[in-house]
Amino acid sequence: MTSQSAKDAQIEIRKRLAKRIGIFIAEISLLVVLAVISLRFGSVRFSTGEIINALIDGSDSTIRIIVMHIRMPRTALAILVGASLATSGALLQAVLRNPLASPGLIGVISGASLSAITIMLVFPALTALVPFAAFIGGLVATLLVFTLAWKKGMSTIRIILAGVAVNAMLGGGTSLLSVLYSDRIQGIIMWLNGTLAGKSWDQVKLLWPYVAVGLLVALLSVNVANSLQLGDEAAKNLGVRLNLARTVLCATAAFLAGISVAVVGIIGFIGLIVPHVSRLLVGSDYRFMLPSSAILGAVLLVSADIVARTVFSPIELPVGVIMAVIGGPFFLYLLRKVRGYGQ
Amino acid sequence: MKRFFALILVIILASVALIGCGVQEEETKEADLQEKEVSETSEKNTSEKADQADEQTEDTSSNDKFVLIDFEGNELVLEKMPENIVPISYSLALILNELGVELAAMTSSRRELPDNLVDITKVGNPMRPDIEQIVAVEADLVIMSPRFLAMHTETFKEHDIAFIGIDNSTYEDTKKLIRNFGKAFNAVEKAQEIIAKFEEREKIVMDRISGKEAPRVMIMHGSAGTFTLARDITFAGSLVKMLGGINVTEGLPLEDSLGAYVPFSQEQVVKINPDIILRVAHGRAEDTKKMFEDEFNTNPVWQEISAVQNGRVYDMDNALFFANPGLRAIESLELIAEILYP
Repeated sequence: MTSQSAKDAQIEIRKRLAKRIGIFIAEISLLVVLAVISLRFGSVRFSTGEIINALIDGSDSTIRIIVMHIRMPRTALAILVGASLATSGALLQAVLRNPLASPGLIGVISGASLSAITIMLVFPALTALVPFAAFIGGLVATLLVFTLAWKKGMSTIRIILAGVAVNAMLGGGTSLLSVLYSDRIQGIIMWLNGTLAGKSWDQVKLLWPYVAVGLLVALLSVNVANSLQLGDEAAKNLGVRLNLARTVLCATAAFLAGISVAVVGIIGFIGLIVPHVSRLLVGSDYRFMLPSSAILGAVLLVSADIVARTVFSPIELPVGVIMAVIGGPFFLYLLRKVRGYGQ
Repeated sequence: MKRFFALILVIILASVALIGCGVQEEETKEADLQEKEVSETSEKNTSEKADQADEQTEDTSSNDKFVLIDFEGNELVLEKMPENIVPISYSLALILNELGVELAAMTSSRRELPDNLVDITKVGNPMRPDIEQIVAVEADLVIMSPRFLAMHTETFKEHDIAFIGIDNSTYEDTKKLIRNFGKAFNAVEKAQEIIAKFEEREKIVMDRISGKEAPRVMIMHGSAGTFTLARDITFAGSLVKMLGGINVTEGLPLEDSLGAYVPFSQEQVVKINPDIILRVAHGRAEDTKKMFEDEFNTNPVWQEISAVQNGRVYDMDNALFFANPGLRAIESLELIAEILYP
């Protein structure tokens, strides 16, 4: 009898594993297909033949430049940024055990905004330094949140409250600047709405080593993330050093979000919604949920970017807006479809 | 004692937080306004009617009433000549001053002012003029850009101050409003003198460029990574159009419902391959240059564009191009003509 139920359980586990691997394969194929579509379609129309010819023998330099130096870096950047933001959100949701946790909560985005906007409005000649300043600003703000939350260790509720307070302060600073320099605000609107437009291989080269490191650390900490989800006591019993674990995971999350914001500006939504979508698809085991989040983040950003640059071509729409418009309904659909989520 | 300090601290923090929230709320409210606030060269709301009714009727000087035509072609009629005039626009203030109209106060500006305007009361920026100051100088006529009209209508009505929206977007707008101001403020001769000077210089420019091949022009705004393009309804765009240049944003879909600046696809820029790129930003020409230079030098996409290959990329001085500079609009026209047709 017991051996029978053990067998059943084993079959059940295998079934789940098969299902998860199936979902993974589907997600990766989707990403590959989307990446190809993203190279094929853009605001200027070419035929597939033209593109292939231009790429192979370099016959038409305009097509070559457009595909190789506009579409390719753009797609690569969408994959890197999408994966980073989604992973960042997933890590924070594990540490803070809060479904509303997203990179915005720990101050990294408002800190990056404030310093980027300060440069763009007050010292426009230094605009080239914006990515660097945004990254530093994000890190400083995150550090501030954790310093404020630290009191003989770190409790999740204190991180959240300190985050809310720091965000309010930095948000006030941003508002103040945009009121004082209201004649210059035009120049920062594109940055505030996050865009992949006008990006080149330079940005990709700048970003990828950091993304690689961040994602690697995130993947190495999936077991810790799993334990943290169970609550403080259970995690402690499993031998997790709570403060260290929280610090490392939050720092990784802040790092991933910070580098993304530095390069492409503010893109919301991914960090909040994608981890939930991923959890709905593969369950809340971070060994599966985290990589799945990264892939889905990339999928979402690549597809939103395709829409953003093609629908109203030659006008570029802000990719964040598109994402909310197409991602929101999809999320709601999943939420209703999958039974038991959020109960 | 300690408790007392804690209490004070809490009060201060609370008030800071409240102010922060207030600002944030307002920010969303004003997001779209700010978007358009930027320069005086925003969309032209002027209807067809305005074009037909732009000439001021001659009977103003015959009686004591004050009549001025607004941006929609409607007449603002006051019983007597206003005495305390407050323009909340830098360019309009300078034009009125040149016409010999005495000003009670004007908008604050970082730009250069003629000596007699340096010491008059300043009332803050056009988006949030200081109503206390305006009331304090006993203003009886406030002149502003039509874009701020809706925001301030209630305030001025409440204080019973007459107000009018005057459009100073394009080069032609400037000429029209100088003429109208001249008639309304009994300075017809001075107005004609200014316009005659404009037209004299304008004719030289137009004669020189006639028959030359029209270049394709792109007017970039922002910074290289996140730029927007200026359309013909901006001041710089209107000059390019007047001089026969072809703006790359021409023929956009949904043209009428778009703003003055549009986020534009870089792919299309490569395809259209403009002959000339004008870069306009909110700083001085050198600052603008620094904002774009790095990106233009390193990104191979820009190197592909003929304007860049031929060295025909120009950084414009914001004093002359970001907003319509009013009295100096003719200088802007001459400069763009020089660039488009060297």
